[in-house]
Parts: sequence; C-alpha cells; structure tokens
Amino acid sequence: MATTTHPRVHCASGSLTLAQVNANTRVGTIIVPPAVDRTITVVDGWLRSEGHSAGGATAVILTETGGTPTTVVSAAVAGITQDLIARFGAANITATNVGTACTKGRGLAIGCTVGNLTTSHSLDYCIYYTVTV
Amino acid sequence: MAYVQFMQKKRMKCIHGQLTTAQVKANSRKGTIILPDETGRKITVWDGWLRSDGNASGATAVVVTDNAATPIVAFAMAVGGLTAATVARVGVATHYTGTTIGQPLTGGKGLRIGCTVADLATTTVLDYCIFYTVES
Repeated sequence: MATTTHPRVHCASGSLTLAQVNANTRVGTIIVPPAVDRTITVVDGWLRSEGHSAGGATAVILTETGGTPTTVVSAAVAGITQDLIARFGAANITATNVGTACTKGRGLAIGCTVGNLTTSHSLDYCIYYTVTV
Repeated sequence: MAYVQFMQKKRMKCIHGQLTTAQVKANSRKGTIILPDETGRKITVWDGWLRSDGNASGATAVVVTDNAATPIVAFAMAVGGLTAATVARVGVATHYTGTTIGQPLTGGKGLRIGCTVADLATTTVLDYCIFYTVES
C-alpha cells in the first residue's frame, strides 16, 4: 500500500538580545543554520518584544542566510509591542514569503532594517518551518 | 482518561502549497485533493491559513474538507476574508468558521480544498498551509 508522506513541522524558538538582532550591521543572528541540500519553508510563527515595545528600527526581519537574502517576514516595529505575540500575517507583520521555499542550502536569520532595534530588552521568536531534501 | 490523552505526543505535520483557481473550483466546486486518502489513518486539522493573490470573490467561501462523499468541513474562509496577499488565519480572520478544528475528520479520508455556492473568481492562485496530526 502506498504511504502518504506527511511533512513534519520543525520549530525554532528562543530569545535574542538587542545586540544579536543588530549584529553584523543589522543582518542579525542565525537562528537556523544552513544545511547543504536542504530547503527550508517557513510556514508560520510569531515574534514578541520583552521589556518594552520595539523601536528604532523600521522593521525586524526574518530572512534567509547568505548573500542577498530573501526576506521571509518583515515585522514593522509598530506591530511588535511589549509582551504581545505578533503573529505572521497580523497587522504590520508582512508575511510575503511565508509558505514559499527559501533558497536551497540556506538557513534563517533574524535582523532589522534601516536603524538599530532599540527599547526592546530582548526579542522572543517562534518560527515553524518544514525541511525538504 | 483525560490526562492520558493529554500525555499522548502527537507530531504535528504541515501540508502547504498553491492551487490555481481552476483547481479550487474543480469537480463542481469539491475542489482538489491536497492529501490523499489513507486507509486506517484519521486526520485532525489543528491550524492553518489561506492566502489569495487577489481579493477573492464569486464563491461564498473557500473550504478545507475531508474527502468523504459527505465531507466534514475542517474550516471555511468566507471570500470577504481572503484579501490580496494577506494571510487569512484559522481562528483570527473575521470571516473564518471552523467548528471542526481539533476534531478528527472522517477515518481513512484525506483533505481537499474547494469552494461553496459559486465558483471562486478574481483570485489567480490560492496559497494554503494546513497543520494537522495523523492517528492510526
């Protein structure tokens, strides 16, 4: 009997300091390392600012790793208020490439745009994704 | 007993992809299968979202159902909630109904996405992402 493949969901979750989000000239910090021949598709997730609502930057972004990365999610800081879960697709959390396969062999990073992230003490994240070979 | 059920570890699965409008309204609006039938398995949908590339119209709702002859609707998203390029989420979107979220669908049946009352229009493609578990 043929068996259906049921794609498993993985979850990258944790907390980044402001310095980690602002690191590498705002390219940010890798949360899922690249793996050769693996393709990641982000399917859902959320961000949450701890300590204070986000400010300073234009947006916190979830991107691919590597050169000229595709932005998976762009969360305007206005949508990242203190202690509240900012879910992908909600107001100010533009989820353009959620559900779209990232470039093969690349991981995921969280950074910010235009200016450094300020006022937040830390940024919690929870990213659901699938992996295909 | 309730606490025994709670302790069962169910590994969440995710089926995601894209359907054309023609696929959504195919088979007299029953739509297109996204998960095939599987004997002895039972699917429970827990979460998900839909996203249209244009403001959806024509149909009353886009529905995620099982493949049974008399299908159970896992959730429905009224076309008014499917605005261009916006994630319409289970449980959040104003136009969502999903009384069967978290409840097992028909045993041995897969999932499909279709539409109701009339053909889906305006939309060119529909992205979908469905979180579910499978029980034997």
